Amino acid sequence: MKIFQKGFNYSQDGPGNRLVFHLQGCNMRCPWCANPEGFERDGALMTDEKWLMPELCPHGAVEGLTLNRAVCRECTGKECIHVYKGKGIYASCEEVDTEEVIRETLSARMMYYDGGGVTFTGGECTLQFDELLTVLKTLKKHGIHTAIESNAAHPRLQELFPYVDCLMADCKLINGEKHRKLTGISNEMILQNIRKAARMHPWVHVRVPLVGGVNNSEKEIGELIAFFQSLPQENMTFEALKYHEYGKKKWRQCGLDYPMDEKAKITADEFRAFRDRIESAGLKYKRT
Amino acid sequence: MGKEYEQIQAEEITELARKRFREERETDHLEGWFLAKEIQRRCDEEYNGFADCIRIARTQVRVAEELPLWISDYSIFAGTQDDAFARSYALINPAFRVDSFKGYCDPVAVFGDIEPTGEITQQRIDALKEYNQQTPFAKALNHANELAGELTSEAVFFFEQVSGHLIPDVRPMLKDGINGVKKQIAENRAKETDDSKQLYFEAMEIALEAALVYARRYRNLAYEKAQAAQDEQTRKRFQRMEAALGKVPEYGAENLFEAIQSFLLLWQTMCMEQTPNPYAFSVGNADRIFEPYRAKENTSREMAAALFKHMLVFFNVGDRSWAISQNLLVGGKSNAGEDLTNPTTYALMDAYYDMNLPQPILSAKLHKNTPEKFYREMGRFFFTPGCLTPSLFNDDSVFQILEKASGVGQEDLPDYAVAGCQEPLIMGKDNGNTTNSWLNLGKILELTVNGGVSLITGKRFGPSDAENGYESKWEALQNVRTQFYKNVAYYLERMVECANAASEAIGLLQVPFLSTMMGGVETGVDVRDTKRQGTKYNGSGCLIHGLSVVADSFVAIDRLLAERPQDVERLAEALRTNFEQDTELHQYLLTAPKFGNYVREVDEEAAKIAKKVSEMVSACRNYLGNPFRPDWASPSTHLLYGRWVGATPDGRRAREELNYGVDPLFGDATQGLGFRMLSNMKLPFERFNGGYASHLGINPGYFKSQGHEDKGMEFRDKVINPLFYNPQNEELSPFYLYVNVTTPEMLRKVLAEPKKYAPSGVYIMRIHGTFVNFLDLSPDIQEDIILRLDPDSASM
Repeated sequence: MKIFQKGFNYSQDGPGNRLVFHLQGCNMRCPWCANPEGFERDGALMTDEKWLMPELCPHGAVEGLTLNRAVCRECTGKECIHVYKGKGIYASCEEVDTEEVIRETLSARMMYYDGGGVTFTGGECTLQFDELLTVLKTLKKHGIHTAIESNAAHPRLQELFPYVDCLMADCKLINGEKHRKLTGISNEMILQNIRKAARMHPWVHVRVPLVGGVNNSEKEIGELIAFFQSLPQENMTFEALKYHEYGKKKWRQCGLDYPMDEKAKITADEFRAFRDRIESAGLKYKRT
Repeated sequence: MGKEYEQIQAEEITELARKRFREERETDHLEGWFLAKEIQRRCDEEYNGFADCIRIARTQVRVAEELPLWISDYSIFAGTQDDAFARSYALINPAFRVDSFKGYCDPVAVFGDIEPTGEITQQRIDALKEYNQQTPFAKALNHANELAGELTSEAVFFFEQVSGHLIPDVRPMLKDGINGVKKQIAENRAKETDDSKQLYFEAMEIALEAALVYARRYRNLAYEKAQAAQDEQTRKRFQRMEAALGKVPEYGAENLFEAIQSFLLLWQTMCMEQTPNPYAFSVGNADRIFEPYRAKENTSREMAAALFKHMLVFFNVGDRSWAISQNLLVGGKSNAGEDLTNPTTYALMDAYYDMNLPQPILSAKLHKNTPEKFYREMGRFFFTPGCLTPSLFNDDSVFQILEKASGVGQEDLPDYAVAGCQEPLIMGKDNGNTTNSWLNLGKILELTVNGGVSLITGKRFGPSDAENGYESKWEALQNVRTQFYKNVAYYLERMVECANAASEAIGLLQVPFLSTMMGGVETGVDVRDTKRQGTKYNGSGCLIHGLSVVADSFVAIDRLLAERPQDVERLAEALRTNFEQDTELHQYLLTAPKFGNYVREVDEEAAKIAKKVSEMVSACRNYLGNPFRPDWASPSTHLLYGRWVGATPDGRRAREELNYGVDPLFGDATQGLGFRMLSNMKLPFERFNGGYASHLGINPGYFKSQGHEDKGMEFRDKVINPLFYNPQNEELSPFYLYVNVTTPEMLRKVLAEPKKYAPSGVYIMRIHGTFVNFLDLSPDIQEDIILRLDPDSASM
């Protein structure tokens, strides 16, 4: 498994205290993403200006406080991460055997208190589908509570249902064309998977990242609410996530320009109004 | 409390306590200790020819007779410990600089802490200093220093004579009064055949008289205050004081008021016996000590809290509450697992919360059956900015450790208490000499890696690589662990020799009054006796520094040897030049795995080091042949000793602080609280019978409940239960923790605008085992507190 971040949090990504793995690679390119280092399937080279120095690259890719990524794209040795292992240039992720992930998650079970367990998110965790399935099956066998947070675009998502106690699915937009334009992929499979999960999965939590200029218009909110209302509600909860800029620095560290601007920001009133809309539509709102 | 006292309402008593504290904070000079030392000098001559213990006991009485006494207009109890302290504790002195620290082993350093004033001229100060330089104690202590040679000059180890750091058992004295204890002494003396013990029994009888002298003198002062009172209420207040002093501590106390009054005079006498600076005498299980007296008259929680507020103020000395690390405990369990909280527990907590004083420090004993109410009531401490917070002990583990590692009898386990910061001792029965020795693993690592030469000064402290039989730096580093432990053994031996010599020195200063509360009444032996054991339990402490720096360094060396063996000499040079010429290698070392992130390799290394060094320390013997007790605590000494440690292979720069206690080095644990706890739980706590230190700086934003009480429960569920009472943990659980629930940003705001954020001038923070007024600290220590909040290591 390629993992770009891991750590515990309390009830932010599933119930109780949870060990959360961020798996490398994503099939979307959401410009508001807070974890851009998770985009590339093979990982990204990240830099820290404070420690960036020419000695870290024998091919001369370090130019002042930046990395000439054109040089990096041609590089096969990747001495920066294999030999020098510095803080100035580093790989966004590490590759860990599924056995090791299983060992770690089992050995950390002391910390899964208050109904906690293990959550896989991303990037998009389902891109490493086979490894994910293997690990989830084993964790379930050991009685560990499991959750995934997914963009729900994977055609085999349903195969994971028996091994996932809590399925968190993102739903950004109902308009397919706009969805494709903003994220890079169609939302057809996503909506289909959410409908399926609503029918079949015992606990589906749908999250909507509320982003100015993306999905905060009356039309887009109305479409989202209407879609949610069309689903069976027994096992469904909903939540809005307010746009933030916590990931901005990481875009730069990955050599990417941050594409969002002030217009993406959501006011507290706007956010509250959206939450109220969800609740007044008879949907169960759950804040995590 | 006498019912007639109910005429004064709790609120008024509280207001008096506040005024008394404000008055105490205006005390910017402390000369009582100096006057007492002058009396002692006279008595040395006058009682020359008497046995030491008799001379010392008589001197105590003379000090009690002659020392100027007074009672504040705001007092409801008589007594002070101001005369036992000098304004000399480095860490709470804003003028203190870390690189000026030389330990606490200079017998006359205290004379540098008094300014000539009024009749106390420089000539008098110099004369007394000169006299004290020539005492047998000073000579013996200087001998200990000579044994150390150069080794303490760069803090390979330190040692000190331990004054204070004990928990006297005041219960017999409160119950039966001094008369009752004297009677017991007389009975035991009559049965004793050993002449020297007979003499010591006599000395204790004499020393007890000192407390009665204080009582009589204070009673007269109270009478005068009553006579001079301008209003009826004040008159009654001092009459009540006068009446109590007519009874206690001579006779047993019969209500809470009398018990507190008795306690304060016993405390004053005990501290005066060790003037100056008997740091870290601790109260013990205060709620259990005082509850019987509260219960006698069923004193209300509100009134009991009001009375305790005056008791708490008593522990604050001068303008910066100089008497530090006086520990007071609440809560805990019996051997049968029953919870021992009682109404006094909560009255004490109220008093603490309402007064929010820098001293005495509060500790809470927890166990798996601690009631919800206790956690609910603790919430207000953790979630009020600038409020004191209790340090937390896990009885379920401490009982096991004390029984197995220290040989404590089951009957004594519930009576364990905390001396100073976090050292668990049995109240009234255990002389642990807790701060006797201090071992700097960071410095030993530096000397090991650098062939015995200090990177700080270039001085040679040990054999070179070649002398150790290594032909190259590569070979030396291949064997770094073997050589490190050899060096630890060598320096331990030297340290123990010095530490025992310091104990021999302080043993010359017998303490017959204290000994009456430390088993002397039964044994007829002084608590400090180095030839015969006066207390049921005895040991010596060794505070061990630098665990994670050493573990991280070993792992970094392993990685370098495996991945970049050609860079071994480069490492040596980079360490010598403090990485200034080799940032690339510095980066490489910094990215090696670090303890606290739940990385098996380095966590297991830390556990191995902790186990092995603990065993080595436990194998050392003190002056009575008892084991040293490994104590993985670093009460700001991680900062002071780090100052003498050169760059280390983990990437830590020269002179930077070492890790605190058993915690990761600040900034090195970046994976949050869950992983940090998992790393921590791998440590062999069963070996830490001297104690250990661990701190979490927690962002209050992680706690979402409404109100202090619910947050207290959330704190239990998110911090205490996972760490202390984790059902999945098959090993012995951790047993100590202190927290600061705040953020670095908040503390910087407090420093920038103290009037806005701490209008009272007091903003309490925890610093190692004690809490202090953050605003009283030296800038170095303030910065250390901010650094060690280390938010990434405790994120949730």
